Amino acid sequence: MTLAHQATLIARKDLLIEVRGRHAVGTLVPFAATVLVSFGFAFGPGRDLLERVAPGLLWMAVLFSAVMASRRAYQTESEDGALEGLLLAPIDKAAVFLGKAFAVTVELLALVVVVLLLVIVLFDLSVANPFLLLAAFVLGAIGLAAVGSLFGVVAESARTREAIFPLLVLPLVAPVLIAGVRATDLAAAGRSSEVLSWLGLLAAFDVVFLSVGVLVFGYLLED
Amino acid sequence: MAAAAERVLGKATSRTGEHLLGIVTFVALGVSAVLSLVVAPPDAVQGEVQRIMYVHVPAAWLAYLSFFVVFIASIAYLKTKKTRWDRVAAASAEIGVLFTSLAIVLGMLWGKPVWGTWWTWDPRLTTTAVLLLIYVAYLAIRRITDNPSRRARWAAVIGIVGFIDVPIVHLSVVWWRSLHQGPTVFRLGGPEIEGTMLLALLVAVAAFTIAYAYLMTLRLRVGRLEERAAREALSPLVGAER
Amino acid sequence: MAPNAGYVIAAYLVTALALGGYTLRLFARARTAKRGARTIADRRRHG
Repeated sequence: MTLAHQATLIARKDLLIEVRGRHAVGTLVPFAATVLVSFGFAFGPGRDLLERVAPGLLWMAVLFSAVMASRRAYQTESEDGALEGLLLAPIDKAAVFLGKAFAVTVELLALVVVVLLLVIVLFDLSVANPFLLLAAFVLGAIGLAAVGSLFGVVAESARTREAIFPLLVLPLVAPVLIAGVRATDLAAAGRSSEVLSWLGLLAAFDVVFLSVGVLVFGYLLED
Repeated sequence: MAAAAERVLGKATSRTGEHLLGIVTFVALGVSAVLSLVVAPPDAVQGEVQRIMYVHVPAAWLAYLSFFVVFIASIAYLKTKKTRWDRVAAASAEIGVLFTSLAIVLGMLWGKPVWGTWWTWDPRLTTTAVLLLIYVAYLAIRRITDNPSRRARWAAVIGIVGFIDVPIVHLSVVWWRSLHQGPTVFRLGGPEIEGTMLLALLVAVAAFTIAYAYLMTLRLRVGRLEERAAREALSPLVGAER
Repeated sequence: MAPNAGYVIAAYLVTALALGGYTLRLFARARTAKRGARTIADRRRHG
């Protein structure tokens, strides 16, 4: 069984659990919505400022949701000791990483669709170039999911404290936040050529973290 | 008996070496201070404030060197599983936090008179701030993980991933900042750097690097002692002879 | 005194305190660890 096949199986399993449990819909979307409305209270009511910072607020909401989704991806394993089962199964450990990263990416993209609509409504985000905008979110979601799925193992093990996971993830994904917001800003304004270099940065980040993740994930799991 | 004597001798020699290194460090830093504060001329544009460069730049250099050592030691640990490498990584990370914090504080002390504000999201300082956060996460993971082998493994992964991330962070901040050609007329470094200033800077970098070596020697020894104390505490009924 | 000399002084002072302070702290930690190990070993022998 190839790595890709194993990863797909893991991703399918996780997404099935997600669809049945409706975690993304049930928890992440309301969470992101609450965050956005809170931003509205914090920075409003003047529409000018909100419109100006809409891309940033959007990505902050996605970022926080990514932390939650990644943690959740491993919570389902520690219940019922499924993580030990994964460890013992004759699959490539890297497949677990890739599979979970893929599943989290899909969840995040589903979230992005909803959140994008909210931001367009709440903060007047204009969308001159929707394709580039979505590209930014796809690439960004992959990056966030990669880092989250790599360190999610750490968050879920017994005796580690809650706050360590965001502390670990947030500084590492700073490039995603910077590039994502800039790309969204430029795509919303219709400045397509400039968006491409930021998309390039996001893509490079994804490639680096997925490759490094594949190489080191096994060390996080073994015991 | 002979083995014990050999061990004692080994310890004594390395202690002497350690003391020697300490003296060399002290002298080197002293020489560097004199060069930086007295011999080097004040900057044509920034005046005396520019002298902060002679402590800020070496501190920043060491912040990144320390993290590089963490990176290499982490890889070495994952490949060989020898605890020695984990100790080196832990020591370098702790010292790295010291130099990184120092570099940031010194950067702010330099920035305030020159930029008029404590912080302008200058690319290098901002990347250094992110570096500090990654270091802190590294040390936090070490603190809260009980199982020693797991602690070493997890820390090693963070050490590797974090180090690889830093250049990407730097690139994104540079691009990000280039959008705002703000008050970076005075780059922390001065526009020109003439002969004596360059000498003073190089001596400072050398002195700080020697200081790093000394601190590593000390910290590694402390690490061994603390490990031994922890082992003793955990083996209550293992008999007097070992 | 030159303008902004205060910043220079503060910078060098902070550097000296940071390096010196950390060194002293390491010595203190070494002492504590040695004493701790000795106390535990003694207690085991005589306790």
